[in-house]
Amino acid sequence: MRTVRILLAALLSSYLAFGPSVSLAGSPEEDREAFQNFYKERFPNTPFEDFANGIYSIDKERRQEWEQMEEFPQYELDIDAGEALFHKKFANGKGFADCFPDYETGVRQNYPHWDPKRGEVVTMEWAINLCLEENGEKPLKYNRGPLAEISAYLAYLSRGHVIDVKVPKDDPRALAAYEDGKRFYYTRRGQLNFSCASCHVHTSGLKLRSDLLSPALGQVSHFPVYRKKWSAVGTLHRRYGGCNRQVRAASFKPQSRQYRNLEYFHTYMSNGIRLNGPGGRQ
Amino acid sequence: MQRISNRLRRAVAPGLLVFAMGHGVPALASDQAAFEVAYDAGQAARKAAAAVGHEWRDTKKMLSDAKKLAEKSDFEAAIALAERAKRQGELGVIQAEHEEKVWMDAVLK
Ligand code: HEC
Repeated sequence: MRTVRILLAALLSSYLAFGPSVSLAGSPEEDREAFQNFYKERFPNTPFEDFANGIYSIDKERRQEWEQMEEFPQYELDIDAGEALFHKKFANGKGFADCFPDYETGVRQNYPHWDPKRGEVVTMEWAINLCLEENGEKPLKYNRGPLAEISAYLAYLSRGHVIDVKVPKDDPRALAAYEDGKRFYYTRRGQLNFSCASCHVHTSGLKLRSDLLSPALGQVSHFPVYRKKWSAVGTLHRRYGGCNRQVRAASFKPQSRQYRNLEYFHTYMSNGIRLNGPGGRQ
Repeated sequence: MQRISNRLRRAVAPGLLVFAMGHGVPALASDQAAFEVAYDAGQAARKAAAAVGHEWRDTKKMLSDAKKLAEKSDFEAAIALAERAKRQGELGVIQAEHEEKVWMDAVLK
């Protein structure tokens, strides 16, 4: 175990020293291209843009039900609640708008991003809590409730922006975070021994019990999502937790480094897709 | 304090077991000690799996269920469950070591 780690560390440092030429791994751009081509070939009738709609991009019947649901979307109440929360002033007289001055024209497309000062991937949800903490307010619980509502409001105002996650080349830590997320995505976990890719890549479009497995491409575009099962909006990391647990793996904490790095990779794979959150799901 | 008593327990438990077997003290003391050995081993295995990101979903609950069984003096079931939890932890670590070598084969190229 230790020797493996030492070997890996040696590999990584030679990678960093000599650049991608000695590595077996693809660059983020090569990964994205291969990833997107896979789905274009697997679902030739789905226009690229439409992958933003998850399973509804690949199944006519379910799409019809969903389009009916979208006529009176359940998440509207959550957007309203999020709007009210967003505009409530903090005790110091400031508000969220001071942290997100461009909120009206959309901010979600800027997340997740690599923050060189923190040396971490910052997600929309973490940024909301950072804003609260920097202003002396108590952070909100992740996954559901007020934070998911604020996030839904910001997602709504960001509709139409194109996902364009960047892995800055001048900071090797950013690439390491991306690689960490990529590795998480392809690593089998839990008693059932499945990776994210087992379901959403290699068996996407097939059925798991009564569920159809969505293509991973475009999955992040419509979060947070109102789920009938949740009777509320929930965040992307809530979904990650559920997907980990359904293969009988222990889930990680929302906004843990593992899930933030996973989101970094997962969202990068959808570069070029337009944001259309919040979404409605079963 | 907690840590010291845990350590003590770990040191004393096997001794107790031997003592119990040799001297025919009431079954309860030896069963309790045997359970604690099994439980501690289960927790250690679970933590080892968690440390490499491969804890399984139900291990924690199996251990807390085992504890409840022991409290009701159902030591046989309690020990069996603790041992299953330990096995899960061990398999999680094996899974992590295996995946470290093969995950990249699944990457789309
Ligand atoms: C055992 C199969 C399985 C595995 C493994 C799995 N998922 Fe899922 N996932 C599902 C099912 C079923 C759904 C609900 C239907 C759908 O949208 O695919 C779902 C839904 C999702 C959604 C929501 C899609 C939407 O449009 O709302 C996301 C995001 C997601 N999974 C991400 C992941 C990630 C990341 C992993 C790895 C940590 C993962 N999943 C592992 C089965 C799985």
